[in-house]
Amino acid sequence: MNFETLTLVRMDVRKLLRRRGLMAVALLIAVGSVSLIFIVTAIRHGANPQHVRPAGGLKSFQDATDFLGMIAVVVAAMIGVTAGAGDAELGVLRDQVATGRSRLMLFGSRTIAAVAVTLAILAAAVIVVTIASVALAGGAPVPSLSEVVQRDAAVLAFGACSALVCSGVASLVRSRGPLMASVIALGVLISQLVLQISFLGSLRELLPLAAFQRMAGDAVSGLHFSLAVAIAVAVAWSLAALAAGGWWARRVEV
Amino acid sequence: MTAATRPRTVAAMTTSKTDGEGPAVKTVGLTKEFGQRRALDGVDLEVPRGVAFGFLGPNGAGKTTIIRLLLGLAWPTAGSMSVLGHAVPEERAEALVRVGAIVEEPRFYPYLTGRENLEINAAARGGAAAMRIPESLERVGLSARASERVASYSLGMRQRLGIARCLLADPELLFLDEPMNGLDPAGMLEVRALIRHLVREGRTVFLSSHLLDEVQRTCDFAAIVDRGKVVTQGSIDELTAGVRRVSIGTDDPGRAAALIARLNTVDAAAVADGGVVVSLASNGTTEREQVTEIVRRMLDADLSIDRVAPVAASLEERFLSITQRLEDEQ
Repeated sequence: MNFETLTLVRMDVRKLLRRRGLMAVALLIAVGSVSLIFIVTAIRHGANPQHVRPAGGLKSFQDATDFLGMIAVVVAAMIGVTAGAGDAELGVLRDQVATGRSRLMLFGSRTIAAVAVTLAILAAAVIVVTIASVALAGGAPVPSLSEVVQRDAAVLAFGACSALVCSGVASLVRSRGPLMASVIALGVLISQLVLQISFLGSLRELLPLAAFQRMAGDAVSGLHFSLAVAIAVAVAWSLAALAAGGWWARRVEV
Repeated sequence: MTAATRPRTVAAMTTSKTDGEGPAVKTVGLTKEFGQRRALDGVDLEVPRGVAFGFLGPNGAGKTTIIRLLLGLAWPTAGSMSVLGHAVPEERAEALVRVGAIVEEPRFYPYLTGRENLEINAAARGGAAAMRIPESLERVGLSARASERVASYSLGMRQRLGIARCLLADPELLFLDEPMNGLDPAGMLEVRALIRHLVREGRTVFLSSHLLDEVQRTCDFAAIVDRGKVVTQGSIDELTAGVRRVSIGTDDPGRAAALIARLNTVDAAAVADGGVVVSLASNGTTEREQVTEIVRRMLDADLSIDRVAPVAASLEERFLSITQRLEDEQ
């Protein structure tokens, strides 16, 4: 990546960061929600330590990272869709294309920026969860280093994969609102339901949510598949969305 | 003045060689269809370098479509085109290195400042574009407001920011699509002066407009487009030379107009400005012979005459006569 490409990516990151409302909501959802869970649990534990377990510890860490998996989809949808469709929606895409810069490069830069911003927000949330899980463990067992690395990496990988998919699909759809709602509904609600439909058997392994749960080391609704398959599923979804988005970015009339 | 000898106030503004000496824009048989609708129909266009070229036509005539094709924003159904000597879309990147464009109304990120918007466009352009931001803002008079969010800009300010964005390319060729839209008279005057200044620097300005008077005031050459076809093109003088009219002052304009309208040497006669404005027919006779016959007939009919003067033809009249003729033919 040369200096000019880096500058282009930096500007795409800036375009996202300067959408202050979007950033505030994304941070609130990611960092705010997990912080709130730990704070409320800590207060409840302080008030009634006999019946309420400590806010931190291994179990809380596992629950919080599972929760962050869902939040990752929401944050990735907000950031990825905005990055992928924002320029077209504002009508500035044609001015970018009219510079003569490769359409693929413009698409790639937007997508990299979406992944970078999504990862930054999720990283902040992951750090909060990890620190709170250890600091507020009380007498409960704390997560091991390998567990921390595996689950945190799974959240970040799932977030990156979701951002890639959202950015790619958004380039096709070019309208933020409905797509954002659809991705969140699919990623958070419908995927959970489909995962429970046992007669679908191993087809469920193709769901990104199943891949995330496997990467995080969770049991996935009676499914037994390898980590390599989970990673392959996540990569395949990302590549398919990127290929579709890139193909469309090259040929769409703006 | 060639691009090589153009004055620059910032060293960074001087960039590269010009791309040859052929026309700035050339299209051959350019056709664009949207489904069943043919937006452009075999357009042959040649825009000389270093001039302000007006692309004139009513709304929906295909003006923006041709600009989009030339910028590689859309693909032609048939035909070929080149920009600054480079075939488009095959050599789009090379063709657009020194092209600035406003397509339809200029659009920006409303939550960013004027300067930030230019920085983003400069990042897409690469090269020395970012270094040209201060001068570009200065040239369009937006330096003082460059740190404000574009959401607070008036339409006129956005137009000027759009032109500043074009200047980031140190353009040999500028496409300005209806640049006077939303401007007050003072703003129009400023933009017109800026366009003329750009042309004096050796740049080519392709000005698309439905404002005939504006094109006549600003441009050296023009093409008239209607229903996706270029119906005529040439210098403004050539285009306005086709309409021959005389104004005749008389004491009874109504009777004079009725008398003159019956003559074979006349296309039309209308009461105007306290006299009669006569459109002379193109029937092989000279203007002198036609006017002489009109005056003789008026004197024979006891009509007094206090003046006979040629009427300067406007582009508007030429445009209306052409488009009216096309309608009649259909």
